Amino acid sequence: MKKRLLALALCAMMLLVGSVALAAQENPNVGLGIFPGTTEPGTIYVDAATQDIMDPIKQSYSNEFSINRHIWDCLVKLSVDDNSIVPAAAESWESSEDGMTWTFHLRPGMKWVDSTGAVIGDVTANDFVFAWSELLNPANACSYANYGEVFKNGKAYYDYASGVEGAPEVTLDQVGFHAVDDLTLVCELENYLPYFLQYVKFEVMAPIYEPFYTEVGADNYGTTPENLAFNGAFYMTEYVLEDHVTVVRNPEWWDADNVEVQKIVFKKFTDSNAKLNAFLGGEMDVIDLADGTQRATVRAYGYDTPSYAGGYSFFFWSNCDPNSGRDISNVNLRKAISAAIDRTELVNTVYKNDNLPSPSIAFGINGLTNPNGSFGDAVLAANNGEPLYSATSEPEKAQEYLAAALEELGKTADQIDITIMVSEGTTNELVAQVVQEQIRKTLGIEMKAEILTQAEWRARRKAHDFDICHGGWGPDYNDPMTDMDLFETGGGNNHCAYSNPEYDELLAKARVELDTATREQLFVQMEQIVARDAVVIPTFWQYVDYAVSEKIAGGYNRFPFQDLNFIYAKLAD
Amino acid sequence: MARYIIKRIVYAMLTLFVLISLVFFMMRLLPGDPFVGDKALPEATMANLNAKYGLDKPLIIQYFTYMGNCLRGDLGISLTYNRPVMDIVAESFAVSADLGIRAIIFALIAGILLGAVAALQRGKALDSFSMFIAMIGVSVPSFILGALLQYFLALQLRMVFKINWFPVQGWGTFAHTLLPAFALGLGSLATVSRLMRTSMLDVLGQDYIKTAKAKGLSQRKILWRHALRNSIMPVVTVMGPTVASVMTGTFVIESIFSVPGLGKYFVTSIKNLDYTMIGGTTIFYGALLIACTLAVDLLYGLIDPRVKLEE
Amino acid sequence: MEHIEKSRFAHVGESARDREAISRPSLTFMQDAMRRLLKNKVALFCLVLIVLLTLASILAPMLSPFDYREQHYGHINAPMFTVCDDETVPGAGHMHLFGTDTLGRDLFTRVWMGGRISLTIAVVSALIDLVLGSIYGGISGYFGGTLDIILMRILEIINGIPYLIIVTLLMLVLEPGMMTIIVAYSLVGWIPMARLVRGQIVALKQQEFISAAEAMGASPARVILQHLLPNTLSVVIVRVTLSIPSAIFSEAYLSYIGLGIPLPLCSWGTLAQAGIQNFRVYPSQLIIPAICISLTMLAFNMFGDGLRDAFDPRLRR
Repeated sequence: MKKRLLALALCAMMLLVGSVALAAQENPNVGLGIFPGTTEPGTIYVDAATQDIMDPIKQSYSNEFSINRHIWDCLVKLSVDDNSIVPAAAESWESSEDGMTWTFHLRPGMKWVDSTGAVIGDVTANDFVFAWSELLNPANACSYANYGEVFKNGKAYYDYASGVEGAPEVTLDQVGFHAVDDLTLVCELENYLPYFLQYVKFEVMAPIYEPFYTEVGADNYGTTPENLAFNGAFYMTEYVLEDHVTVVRNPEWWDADNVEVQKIVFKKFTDSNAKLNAFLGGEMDVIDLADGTQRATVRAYGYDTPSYAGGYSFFFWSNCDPNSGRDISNVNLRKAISAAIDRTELVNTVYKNDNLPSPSIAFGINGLTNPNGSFGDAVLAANNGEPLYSATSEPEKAQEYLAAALEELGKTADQIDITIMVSEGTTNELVAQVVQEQIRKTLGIEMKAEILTQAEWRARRKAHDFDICHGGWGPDYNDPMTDMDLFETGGGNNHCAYSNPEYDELLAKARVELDTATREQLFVQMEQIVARDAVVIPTFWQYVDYAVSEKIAGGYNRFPFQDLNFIYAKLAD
Repeated sequence: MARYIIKRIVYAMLTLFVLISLVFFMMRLLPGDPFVGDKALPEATMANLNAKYGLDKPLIIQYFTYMGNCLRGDLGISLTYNRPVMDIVAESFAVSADLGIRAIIFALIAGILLGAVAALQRGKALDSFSMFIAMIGVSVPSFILGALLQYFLALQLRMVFKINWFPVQGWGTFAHTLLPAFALGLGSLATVSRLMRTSMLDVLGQDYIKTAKAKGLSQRKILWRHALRNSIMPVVTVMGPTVASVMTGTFVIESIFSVPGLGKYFVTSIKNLDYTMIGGTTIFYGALLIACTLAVDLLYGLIDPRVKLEE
Repeated sequence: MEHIEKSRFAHVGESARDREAISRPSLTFMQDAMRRLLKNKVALFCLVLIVLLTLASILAPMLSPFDYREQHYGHINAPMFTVCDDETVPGAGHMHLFGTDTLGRDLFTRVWMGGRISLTIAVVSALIDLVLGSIYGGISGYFGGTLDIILMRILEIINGIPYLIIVTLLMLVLEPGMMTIIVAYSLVGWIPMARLVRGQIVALKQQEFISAAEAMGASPARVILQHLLPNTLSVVIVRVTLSIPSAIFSEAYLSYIGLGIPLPLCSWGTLAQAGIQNFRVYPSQLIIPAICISLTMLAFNMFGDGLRDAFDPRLRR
């Protein structure tokens, strides 16, 4: 087996989209004396909206992963400087020639600590094996159990253990992760995965200290800080449900010397105005801003606010099922709506911020041939530099499509029946009203709007029981596949019920293609087909504005796949 | 009296039983699926989730299991938070009750005083003032009142005048309770003072007050011994359910002032379709409500000797 | 002892007819109440205000040059009294009296459009509240005993079911819209009223005039409607006037959680809600709907006070 270190090569590969930031952020506001931040020395208050579950293997929201990142070390992690894969619990690793077997060498001397910071044990390779076994344990019903299925026999074991009918017997020790000794971990893969390290980096793959876990019991693990053990840069001391999580610097952590922050409070807000007030009043250090009006409020004090892209692409899912009997399943009608929508005005009225009218679907993904650029650039280049979707309204084009659609449907414009399914929330309702009015003005179609609770909205979307509905889609891993497999016939996330053999064939090819340039072209073609058939009606690529108090001088960054990372934050003097 | 109380407690148990049963079946009619998230989960995972919370069994079996568990004091594990519902309710109710009691005391004392004074000074400046306070209390909903209090009294006071009396949000110190308790109590204050005023006017027109006056009792004695006691009935009636709802917190005040109370769970549990949490909050609120109305009925007898309880 | 001047007395003479004559015209209860109501200047003013608000809500959206849903991208969040210079819309050259909202819609038109919805919901809900609540409470309080206990336990059950569940389930059956909101509010809105009326009646029914009516053979319905309910009127009127804003805000709350009136319609509650989002930058977007709500509240309350005084049997002279 020829050993090769991949860390460096991957560093180059996993560079950020668009803005290539090669170092952590600096806060340009430091010293202005406008928003000095919270008063408690060494402590920062950071906005984190979802903190429902603290058992790492059961987490499922990006804010939960953000807290997770601060208190546990996975084998590898993303660099705060450039979002590339860097060593964490594993100090080095190598893969076999065929890329199917990976060996990780753990850092010696790492310790487990409890919620008082007391050392309770050593971190060993078994802690990972144990955590991943628990991830695949059906009794835990982990949402991200499918991340354990990348390992050899992972899916077979999960299905067998879950009692899926006809699943052959597979035992846990047949699954492809093994501790060779205390510091060596070997992983075997089920399929070839060029982005395997992105899986190992994923926060639900954090280790669990077996003796401690067994002692508190699987059901109690994570319910309180006392019921958790930590191996990361911080350890948790307080967990008030729906309010805040407090983590304190862990002096036992292997890189503790470089950690300047003594304590981080992850605070949850449900009211965005209250959150802004808390920041302005010096009770928060980092907050996300709800919209351009809030941003303008902060900037009015002469204070600069940065923005970042988490890779979320927003669009209207549309029901493409020709058997649904819905008007919207007519492709020309969808194209008419897509052409009629004025994406720039939508962003300017509802958001008033840096959101970008979508040129294409996939966002936040690095280019394959040019890892320093984005996949979106490749799509743009293939379309002669023209976006696939116009940023402004194209009324003539829309009328042409509408005429064709009306002829095919045998209806007049006022007979067209389209309902926008809206999930509750001020912003969602504003988006619906803007589109409603734009379509009424340009096409003369009166769309209805139906507001539902999130739970019903999701269930109806899954059941394809809607005409169009607006939502965002964020990437799971840094490869165009994460977005492009959305429209596969029968796919679990194919809410559009889109089915096109030509598209499925391209997708199948992309799964086995080894040549990056060819693979990229396949994805570009898929983007073009999605646009041609107006499978979804894109609206914008999301940019989130946020504000950082002068207490934090730098050392943080916000990227797709790691939206909060304040481990190495530098405090102003 | 003892017989009456026992009878009422038996009825209370029955009421709670019907309430739990109704809510159990109603919540299962709610549209949606608690485990359908933003991204699709594999079939096997969905099945495991349903099995973990016992949602894979027939509804009627689930019902009997649930009722049996309730009798043992086990409200189940929250679907959203993966923690025992009992723990969540206990932790957050401690906060809500703390805030709620402050709000109620404020509303009662200020409301009764304002209402009584307004009635005595009918048509004079104090009457108009109490009317004005009451108008604000009822015509400004808590989502506006809370936001304005936070903006002007906490934030602007701090930013413009450098006065640090009120924290913007959060929980922990006495100062943290001031604005939310005021915002929470003002609505009830308005109701109390309006009802107090009108009922006081009714009582002041009664013959026994005239008799007392004719007997030569002092104004103060008439007020304390006769008027206040007899006019407080409507206030006691509305306070029963109000105490139950104020003590269990409200979504709006809790989200504006970041109070880790129980109120938000009444809303989020239904939005998330967190069945065990819906059940837990309903049982808790229902029991409190029933206890409060029982207390009101007992108070009737104490305050107004004309009301006979044992019938 | 107060000294009474002799000049205040007049001699009526010897004639028996003069001595027994009724010095004032005989009036029915209603006539008397109306007479006293008309004398109450404040109450009359409030009545006029209510009529004006209603008329504005009916007429303003019809007469306005702008449509309530028309979005002017050129004037987003325009301040009050901005002249519309967008040539592409029919209302060009006219003034946005109240400015525009965050989507550039004319707030003057929207406020009165919202008035239609809010006033309807408020008045209809209050009436249902009044009728259902006082009858239910009246029966429960008057008959007492087991019936009372059962009726009151039913109230507790309805009260205990989370409102959101009721509304969500209702939305599955009914089309979202104003009617659904009225039904949803009415389903639980009458409960405080029923409790209040029952509480009053439990105290009142021990009084002598009820025993007298019963002794004279009055039916329970007559006792409740003719004797008991009029005596609870003052409390009932206060409760009804208080239930008007609670209906308006219940609607706003439902919109807040996404179960309100269909888009792009609006109500005062939803306008206030939208206003609160931006009030630090555009305060008028909050102040205008808030003033409308407060004016309505004030008018209904003062008018309610007038009604109370007019109908109070004890104030009859």
